[in-house]
Formats: sequence, structure tokens, C-alpha cells
Amino acid sequence: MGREAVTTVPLKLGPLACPGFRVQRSGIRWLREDGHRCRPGEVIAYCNIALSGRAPVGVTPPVENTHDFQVAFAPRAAGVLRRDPRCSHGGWIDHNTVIEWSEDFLIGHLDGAAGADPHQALSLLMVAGRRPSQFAEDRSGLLTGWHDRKRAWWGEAAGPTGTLVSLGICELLKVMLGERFAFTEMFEAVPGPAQVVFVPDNLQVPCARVVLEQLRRGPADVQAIAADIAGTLPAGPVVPTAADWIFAGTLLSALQQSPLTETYDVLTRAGLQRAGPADAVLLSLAAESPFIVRHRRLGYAVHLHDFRIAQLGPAVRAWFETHFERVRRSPADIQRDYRELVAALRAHSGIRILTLNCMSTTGDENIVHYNGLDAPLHDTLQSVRAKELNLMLHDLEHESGISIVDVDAIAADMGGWAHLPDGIHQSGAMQAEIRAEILRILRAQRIPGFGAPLG
Amino acid sequence: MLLTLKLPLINEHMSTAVIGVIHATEGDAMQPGAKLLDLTVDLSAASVQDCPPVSAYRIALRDRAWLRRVCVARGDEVGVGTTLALFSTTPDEPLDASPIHAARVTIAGIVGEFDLWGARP
Repeated sequence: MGREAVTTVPLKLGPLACPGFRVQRSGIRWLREDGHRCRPGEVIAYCNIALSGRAPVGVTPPVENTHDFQVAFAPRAAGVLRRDPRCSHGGWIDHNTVIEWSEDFLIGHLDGAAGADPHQALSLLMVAGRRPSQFAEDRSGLLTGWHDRKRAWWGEAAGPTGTLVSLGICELLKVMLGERFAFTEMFEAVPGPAQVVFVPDNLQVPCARVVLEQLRRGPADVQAIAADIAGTLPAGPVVPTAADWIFAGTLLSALQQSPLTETYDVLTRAGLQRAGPADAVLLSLAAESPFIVRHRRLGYAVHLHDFRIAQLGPAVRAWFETHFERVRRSPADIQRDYRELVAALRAHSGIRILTLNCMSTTGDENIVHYNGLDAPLHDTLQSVRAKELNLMLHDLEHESGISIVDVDAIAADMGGWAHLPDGIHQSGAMQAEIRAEILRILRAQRIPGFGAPLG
Repeated sequence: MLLTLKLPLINEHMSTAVIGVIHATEGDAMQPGAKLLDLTVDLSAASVQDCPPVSAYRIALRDRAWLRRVCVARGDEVGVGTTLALFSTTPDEPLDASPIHAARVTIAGIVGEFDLWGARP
């Protein structure tokens, strides 16, 4: 057998255009050292981009794109990276979008890239983040900053783009965003055209009740909530601080969003197109806690993490205590919320629902009898509550065809103490397993762009 | 006979725990299964971070004994191995002798019901 020819291929940007706009970019910022041996699809560098110019009649400028919009570069083939030092300038030139996009621009070469197409050696991974406020600017790195929505998609293929929306608590954060917080690991395994959207739990924890209310809430409801907050928060016994006003604004922002009905601008080499609403949504049972609070007059639910509650200032705490009531939620209540949510989503679209179950065993316990644990056990004992919630999810799977991402089985297989020590925050290896399982389900469900089913 | 309860190493990543509700009072005659106290373990070891890895546990007694002394109070952060309570197998046994046995306990992961919103419903 002869040896495979060693090939050097140029890493050119390739075409990227949007009718009616100029595509501008910054200098290149590197994520990999010169001489790094790249995997196919591995992100090696990125730059900021912006669409500038007057929008054509009837075209809405992609507002989000003008703020935190970046392109990451990934070689299509394996090889050794040779960086071109002329593509980075340092300083503001590598931040501000002052350079016209040119398809022939070279960022480096790939040595030993046997079989690579020399005319199309780079794939573009587009990433965008929507800021809750324009002053929340942080362009220090790839997809950095405070965003109420982060998303990514391959910028290569045209055609229908499948969209997965992850409503995330921290359990899902790094599963979706990976070690760089920029979707890079996820997209090494996604051929596209596909988009992944991550909506963080900036304040509202996306339990089924919260998501359902987001779906149902109309402009008049949002107006009523905004007017109520504006009137009641400053009327309390404590003068709100700056942090309290930021809290109130962030809460209002979360209340007026409906991530599962949103659509998206998607820029690819073929131009600007629309994608969404979501083809699939990823939820988590870990977002379902035993308590939420409900506004006494307007009836809307707020669900905050315990650590967020502990951080509340006196003005916001007094506001909650005056205007909200605590509501206890049993597994049966959560099942009812899920049933309503599934029905509402099915009525709205053909969206597929994936839900992470929760780890239901722990090596920390040595229970020999239940005398010291108050009934009902699902209100007291974490493992019993987790098992009841997992069983509830199985019922829903049979009733309505939702898909279970079996975190319980993955944790048991890998070992909870090593990979899930507190039942929520996983190791990197376990995050990779959960990510792979999510992708397996998406492929089995034939969500466009996520690849063909195995077998 | 005196029995002692020290904070056990509930999770191999923990170094301390914060005492929560103390269910029993000194002088109680405790039956096997009686609730003693709840505590929380923060695996982030007090470093400030969002979404801290906090778990809640309940310790219940597996021996039949009198609770003679509670050595901690609600809100105390104590290290692994700290003495939490002393028991005796008779009600009025002097406490100046050295405990010779560790009290047998049940440790259960409980639903964290942190008293963060103030008054309970």
C-alpha cells in the first residue's frame, strides 16, 4: 500500500454575503496554537461580524446580529494548523468590525490534510447572543457576555434549518454550550443545517408552569405586569437599589419572552433566511422544585433558584412577601403542568419535547427505616421525589410521546460520586454522554439538520 | 453508656456542613428513627459562585438513647468530625466520662426547604 499524499490546503474564509447588507468583520482571534493538530469540525479561531448598510424594503435588519454576532472557523478535515500572523492585528482591530469580508482572505494553512477540498477547507460556525440590554456589552471572547438567548448554527448549508431550543438551568448549560460556552462540542457532532438555541435561567427557572405561562401570555398581560411592577416595587417600605431595579428589569424581560414561539435570522453562505420556531425543545425535571411563588393579584408564577432568593435585596424581598404567595408543588401538580404544556405546544406546532429526568439514587444515604422522614415522602426525601418525578415522566412518554433523556441511567452507569456529586452539576465526561444522548434522540426523531438516525 | 455523634463525611467532596433545623431537644428520650437535625452541605466549600452545589440531609438516630447535649446551633458551619451531640443509654448518666461508642444514625438526602422567603405558608 502506498502512503497517503501529504497535502497542504489554504484556510480561506470563503463566501459570505447578505443581499442589502455589507458583511464586515474584525481581525481574527485564535483559539488554537500554531502547530495544533485539528480535528474535523474543531473550532480554531473566530472574529466578530456585523451586517451594515441600509436594509432593503421589506427586510427587517437582523438587530441581534449587529451586537453580539461572531463567526468561528473550523477546518473540514484533520490536519496541522499553520496560522497566518497577518490576519490578527490586536487591539480594537480584532474587536471592531472594520474589515470587509473577503472570500479569498487567508487565515492560515492546514498541513497533512489529505483529501481536503482546497477551495472550501473552512466551515463557518455562526454564533449570536441577544443582550437583555445594550449596555450589557462584553466582547472579550467567543460568545461572551450577558445574554438572554445564545444560539449557533453552521453557516454552510442552505435549506430548512432544524432548531433545538434548550430551556436551561445550569444542569444543561455546559451540556449545550460546552467547555468554551460557545456550542463548539455540540456542533462537532451536528452536520447541519441546524441551529441550537440556549435560553439561560437569568432569573426565571424554566419549570413547566413558567414555560406554559410564557406561551399563553399576551401583550396586554405583559403590560399589566410591567405597570404593576413599576407601581408596587417603589411603593414598598424600602427604597429599591440599583441592583433591585436591574432585578426587576430582568424579571420583566423574562416574563415577556416566549422562547418556543420565537423565530430567528440565520445567516449562511447562501444569504439571510428565517428559522424557527423550534422543532424541538429540551426541558429538565431539575427545574421543577417543591415551591414557586405566584402573584396574588395577577396570578403569574415566578420561580427563582434558592441561591437567587438568598441574594435578594430588602426592597425586592419585601415586594415578594407583600405581593406573592408561596405555592407548594407535588409531583401530581408538576404532572398536571407538564400535561398542559404538552397540549399547548402540540396545539401550537409539531414541536418535539425532550426532557431530562433526574438522578434518583445517591451514595450519600444509609436509610434503614423511614421513621424520621415525614409523610408524604415525596415532600421530604429527595430520592423518593426524584423517583416519583421520573415515573411521572414515563407516564407522559406513554401518553404523549415526549422523549426522556435518561440522566438517571447515565449517572448510575458512570458513577454518581465521581460524575454527579450533588445530583445536578456533572463532570465533563458525563456532559458529553448527555449531549450524545440528546443528539441520538434528535436523530431518531428526524429533526432536520441533526444527522441521520443510527442503525 | 455515652454515645457521640460527630459530623460524618457524607460526601467525599465535602469539608463542612451548615446546621439547619434541630428537631430534638436536650433531655428527649429518642427512639430509633427519631429526627435529630437537618443540615446542608455546600460542595463549593464556601467559595462564592452562582448555583452552588448545595445538598440537604437529615440525620435520624438508629439507637434508643437520651439526647443529653446538643453541641451545635442552627446556622453553625462545622467541619467533618465536629461533635454534634452527646447521648446516653440511661437518662442521668454523668457526661464527664469519655464516649465510647459512636451513635448509629440514618442519613437521608432531603428536599431542600430553605427558609429563604421568610414565613412559611
